[in-house]
Order: sequence, then structure tokens, then C-alpha cells
Amino acid sequence: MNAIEVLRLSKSYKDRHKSVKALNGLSFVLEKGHIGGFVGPNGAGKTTTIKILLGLLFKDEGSVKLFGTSNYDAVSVRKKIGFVPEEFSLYEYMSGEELLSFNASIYRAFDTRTIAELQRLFSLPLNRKISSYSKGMKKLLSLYLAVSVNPELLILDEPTDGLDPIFRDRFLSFLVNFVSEHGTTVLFSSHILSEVEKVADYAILINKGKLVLQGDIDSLKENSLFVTFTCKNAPVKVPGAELLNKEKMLYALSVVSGAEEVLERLKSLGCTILEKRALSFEEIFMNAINGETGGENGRTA
Amino acid sequence: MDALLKKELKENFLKFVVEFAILVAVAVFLVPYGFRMMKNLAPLLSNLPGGGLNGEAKALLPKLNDLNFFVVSQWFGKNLFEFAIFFGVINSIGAVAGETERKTAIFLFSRPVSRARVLFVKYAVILLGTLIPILISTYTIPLLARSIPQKINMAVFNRLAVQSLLATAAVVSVSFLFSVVINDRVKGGLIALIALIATVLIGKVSALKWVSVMYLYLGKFLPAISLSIVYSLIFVLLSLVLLLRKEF
Repeated sequence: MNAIEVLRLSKSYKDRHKSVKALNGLSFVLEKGHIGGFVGPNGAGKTTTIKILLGLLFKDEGSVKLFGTSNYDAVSVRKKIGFVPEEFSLYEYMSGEELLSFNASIYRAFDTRTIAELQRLFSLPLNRKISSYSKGMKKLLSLYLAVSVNPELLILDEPTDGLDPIFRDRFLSFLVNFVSEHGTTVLFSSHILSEVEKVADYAILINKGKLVLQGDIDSLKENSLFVTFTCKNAPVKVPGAELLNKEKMLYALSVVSGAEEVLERLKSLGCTILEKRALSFEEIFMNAINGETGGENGRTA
Repeated sequence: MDALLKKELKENFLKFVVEFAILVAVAVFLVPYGFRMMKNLAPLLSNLPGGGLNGEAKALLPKLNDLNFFVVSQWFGKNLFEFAIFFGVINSIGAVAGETERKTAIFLFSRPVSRARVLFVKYAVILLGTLIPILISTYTIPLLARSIPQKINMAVFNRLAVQSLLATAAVVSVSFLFSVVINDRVKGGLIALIALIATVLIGKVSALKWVSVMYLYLGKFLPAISLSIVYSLIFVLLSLVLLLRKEF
């Protein structure tokens, strides 16, 4: 079953009498139990998508389903969601404890064991007023709030922004353990690719409000290819191939999908393969975004 | 206690207490001190050099000794009227605009709680927080007036009290709407006040007197309270419709 289904989602904003398209027919799915890395460059439409999923923004066109229901912004559906926003202000006059208690009353759920585990890792001064918290502490409190209500879906928008490297590492380890223990689905939005690669098993890559690529991270890597080759019959007709050395007819080629087909084609052209390897997640991202191999409507590995 | 209710009470409590203290202080000053000052003013005004006051002003002089006239004109017609409008706007304008301004709206409206519930809890707390100080301070006046050898006409007093409470409810509802529409508390508050003042100016045209907020406080009892109730309902429902469509 899919936890999230987004189909041809569109959303425009008005900016000084001009309409700016934030989402332009975005479609993707995230199956239950997966950690989906939701990646894209700044302004790709990640936060807009997340806000639509949470009913904070309204879609112009398209459909959204959460846990199979198109009534995705209903209170009963939102009860299943824990959310760490990219940026929000908490009620500064409350203490961490008070805000956790307020949150628990609204959700009618509170997982003391998870909070104890988080406290063991981060020792957040919950008795202090939130106004005295640093940015990182507020981000951690957001995480406490999101996971303390036993969510079925965690939506994390740049969750490590403001955390120091040690806490960032602890946070990511906690997340992986939490998900494996509770079977929670996670939509992990970030532009730090190394983080996404560390925790996610699925990737949804968007750019300019459209899906560029989605799929299992391992499959994406398997289907990708970086290859250097020489060919007797120059010039070769392999789209995207870059000529590195004209005298030796040395070429380099990166593809984010269809590695097998590319290798077959190079063989059929009589090319000699010098080096071949799968792309790293970061290289896949860069290649897809640069449009070297990404399709208009996205690809699925 | 409901978590939302508790939160709203906590956020607004100090404001309500300060407003209550101000209203009670004004009421205590007005009766008996203000009334005695007014009473002492009457002989001075009638003995002004050059024959004293003329016309309508002279006809008012005997009324300066009348406690009921004093209470109606100085409490219901002036102090309460002004403070209730001011407090009504101040209390309401931060309801949604405050959440948007502080960005806590993203936190609040992404929780599993309906926007309608948030709105009604906020409205209920602000309405009661505005009306209770008005109610208590208003009814301290008959208590304070016991030291004066005149009786307050309680039938008229009660009618005006009810009318003032309902009119303030309408003011709260109007300001609430501005709080939903305008994301800036200061701007929203100023616009709400200007709009309410504008209704008084429009109400100068006799055919449009029912538009005026002053008419709600001091107009004929039945039409005024009916209008207050209708305005309150319309503006709260409008606030709800707009909040349901608002993006954060």
C-alpha cells in the first residue's frame, strides 16, 4: 500500500501580479514502510509539496492520496502524521515539556519511551522556556514532537538544518532505528544528499516542480553508469558522450538509467570499455538535474 | 481542560486581567468621585459670568445632578463604549494574525485539529475574556452607587448592560475577521479601528444609522441587540469561511 500518492500536482503562487508555478504536474508515490529521500535543488517545490500534503496549502490541480484516502487533509489522516517543518516558530512562552504536553493532548498520544530515548541522546532541557532554546534545540524539539505521537508517516523538511555534526549524526541514527522498530514511513526532504543517502532507501528527485527521477536508491545506482571508452568508428553516436581525448578517441559517459542498454550499444558500435562503475547518489542527482539524461516526466527505476 | 482552550487562556490571560483592572478602576473613579465632581460643576456652570449657559446646555444643568443620566452618559455612552471597542479590537486582532506573524500557524494548523475548532475556541476565549471584565466592571457601578443618596434605575441599567455586551460581541467578531484576513497585527488592528470609526460616520446618515457601531451600543434596545447578534454571527461565519480557505 502507498503511504503517499501524488498525481499531476500543480500549484502556482502570485508574485507581484505574476503567476509563479511552484509545482508543475508533479507525480510520485512512496510505499508504506519506506524512507523516501525527497530531494531537489532550492526552489524545486519540496516545501510546497509538503505543505499541500499537510493541508497548509491548497493544490490547483492534480490529486493527493495519503494512506489511500483522497481526503488527505482530514483530522483523522493528520493524526497519523508527525511533521518537522523546515522553519517554524514554536510557542516561545511555553517550556519544552509544556509544548510536548500540548501536542500530546491534541494527538491524544504520547510515547514516553521514545522521548526517554531521545533524551538519552540529546539531553534537551525540556523544563526551560523555548525562547531560551538555540535553533538546533528548537529543531530537536520539533523532532521530539513529531516522533512522540507514534506517527505512521513522518514528514521531515530539512530536519537537520541547524544541528551540529554530532547531533546530526545521532539524529540520523535515531531515525533509522526508530523507523525499523516502528515501521514508520518517512518523507525526508533535504538538499544534503549524503544525509539522504545515509537514511533513505527510496529517492524522489524533483526539479522545477516536476519529478525528475524516483526509485529504490540501490536500483538507481545499479541502473546508472559511468563509463570511459574508445571507439574505432569516430564520431560515436551515443547521446551525452563527452569526448575527452580526440587523438585517442577517448569518451566518457554518465547515465542515470539504462546502464545495460548503453553497454550493449557501445559493444555493438565496436567500442572498447576502459572503465565502468555505478554512479554515486550525488552524481545521479547532478546528472538528473543537469538534464543530461532526465526525461520530461521523470523516470522510475 | 481542553489543550487548545488552555493555550488560548494562557496566551490572553494577562491581557484580560489588565483590561479588567482598567475597567474596574474607571468604574470606581466614575462613581462616586466622577459623579460628585459633576454635581459640584452644576452650580459653577449656572453662575458663570455673563448670564451663564444658554439654550440646550442650560437645560442639561439639572441633569448633572441625576445619577442615572450620569451613568448612562459617562459609563455606557463614553467610557465603556470607548474601552469596549478598543479592547475588543486588541483582543481579537492577534487571534489568527498573531499565529501567522509568529509562524506558529504552521505548527498549529498542521496538527490533527480542525480549523473550525481552532477558530471557535479562539473566538470563545476572546469573547468571554472581553465580555467578563465589562460585565463585572459594569455591575460594580450599582454597588458603588450605594454611597450616593440616589437610586439607579436597574431596568434601564440592565438593558444597556445587555446591549453593550452584545455590541462588544459584534466588535469582537468584526475584528476577528480582520485577524483572519490581515497577517499583520498592528495593520489589522488599525484597519479594524478605522473601519469601526467609519461605521460611526456612515451612521450619521439617518437611513444608515443601523450600520454605526454607536447605534449598537446606544440605539433602541431591540433593533440594536438584534443587529449585534446578526453582525456577530455573520462575521464569525465569514471568518470561518476565510480561515478554511487560508494558506499558511
